[in-house]
Amino acid sequence: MTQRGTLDIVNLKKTFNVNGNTTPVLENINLKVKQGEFVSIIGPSGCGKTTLLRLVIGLENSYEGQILLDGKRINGPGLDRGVVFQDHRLLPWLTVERNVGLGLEGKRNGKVVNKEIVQAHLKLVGLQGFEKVYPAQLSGGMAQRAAIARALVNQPELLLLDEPLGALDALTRMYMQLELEKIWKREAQVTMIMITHDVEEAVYLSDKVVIMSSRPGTIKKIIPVELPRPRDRASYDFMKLKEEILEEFQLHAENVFSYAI
Amino acid sequence: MDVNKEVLKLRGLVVPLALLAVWWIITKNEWVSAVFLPLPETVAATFVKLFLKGKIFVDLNESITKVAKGFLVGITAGFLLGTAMGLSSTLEKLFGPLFNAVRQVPILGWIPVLILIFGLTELAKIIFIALGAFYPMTLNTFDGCRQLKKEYLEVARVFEFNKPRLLWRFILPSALPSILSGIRVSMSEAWMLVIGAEIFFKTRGGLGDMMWEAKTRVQMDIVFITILIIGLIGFILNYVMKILENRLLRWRISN
Ligand SMILES: Nc1ncnc2c1ncn2[C@@H]1O[C@H](COP(=O)(O)OP(=O)(O)OP(=O)(O)O)[C@@H](O)[C@H]1O
Ligand SMILES: [Mg+2]
Repeated sequence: MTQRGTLDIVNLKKTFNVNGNTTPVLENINLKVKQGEFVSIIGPSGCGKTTLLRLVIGLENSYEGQILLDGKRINGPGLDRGVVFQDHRLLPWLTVERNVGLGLEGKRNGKVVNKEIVQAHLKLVGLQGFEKVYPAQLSGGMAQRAAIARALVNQPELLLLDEPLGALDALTRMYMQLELEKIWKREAQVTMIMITHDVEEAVYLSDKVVIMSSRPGTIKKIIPVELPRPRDRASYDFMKLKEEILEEFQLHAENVFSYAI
Repeated sequence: MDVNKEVLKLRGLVVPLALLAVWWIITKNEWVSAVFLPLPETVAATFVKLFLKGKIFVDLNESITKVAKGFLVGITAGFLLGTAMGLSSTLEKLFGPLFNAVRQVPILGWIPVLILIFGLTELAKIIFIALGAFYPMTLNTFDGCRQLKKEYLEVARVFEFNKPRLLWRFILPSALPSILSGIRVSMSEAWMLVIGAEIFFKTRGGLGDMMWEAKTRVQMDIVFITILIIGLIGFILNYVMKILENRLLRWRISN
């Protein structure tokens, strides 16, 4: 019996058919994620990160190899996995409260219990008082937080995040990284897999950074991050690890936008 | 700022008032015979007379009841067919071509058919009005049901929504803007057709009959008044629908 929230990807291969041509998008992907681990996936644009995540979500169903969640083959989406899309995808016609409660609607908890669960999650992401507001009235960061609350409401074992902070400005982004870490700590059981373009974000949050390369998308290297938490972005070890990852992309720190602390 | 807005609202009155002035000048100078174009004062006086006599309310009530019935039948049928075709491509293939062919027949073309089948009955008139409301409602509902973006559909899949909840939470709300404008268009269509129904199905009562009677007796002032009332009610209906739309689609307004 494997633990709740373990993901096992074995020899995964994924191709897309475009105008009769078969193009390989992912090849030879092997990845093990343990319960409660925070894993970041980083790689150049178009290398297949989103495709990999969509396979784990269950939105793409044709592939070779195996994707096992708790030892069972993934076969379509399920409430055991929470998803935060890059574009928050809150339903514009529902209030924040209703959006966050979407995942509870099929459950026979009763209204009062559902309301309590929604309240608790709004509190978790710091959105109390915004229950009756529509998504169009939220800022980008608030919408992303609502989306995170929505994904957590069913107590998924695995939370999948596709560049959740990609659209935010630098300051909001750093703030949200702290929030995300807080949530991850509080929901100790939940395994998180996050796609990001931001090396610093990956080092700050992850237990493991998966570096991908493109054409076809493969895993180039998996770098464990063993720095103690809370992490100090200015510490020597932090900087060194960041450098090491940037090295993989043949980039040097001075060429890359980094936060001044 | 608020004052400016109020002033802007009044802009809609400029052209009607100018027309009124032109009308008054023409009739005052007797450039046109009063038989064809009565004086504004005459029309106003007749209006007061009709108003006091009260028969106009009976006619108005008759027309409105007829419209309400035809409109409700038309939009219900249109909503059902539109949703059915919007949700199922099989149903769309079954009914779509027929619907699009039948739609090409002008509504007036149905009058002989309706009279031959139903006679000069209330039912014939209601079906005639319902038909007018049915087409725009079907088209708009059908269109609306196709508005849901693939991205949101994926959200529904992630949350394992079943068909009824998908319809209720995702498809219908995203179709709502389209459905509401369908209702609005159907409403004005129905209101326009009731006059036709009362004229062509030659029966007593209603604004159309009142207008036709006045025409027969060459009472241009009464014809004018009926036109004014018809226009005014159409305007009010449209306005009420707009307010309803704004309320129901609050979520679209940011800030
Ligand atoms: N449905 C699809 N049909 C055909 N090709 C696709 C499809 N989805 C993605 N691809 C292709 O697969 C490749 C990987 O796409 P993917 O979206 O996974 O990249 P990504 O790593 O997430 O990129 P980014 O960082 O820009 O988001 C791209 O070349 C893309 O064109
Ligand atoms: Mg992507």
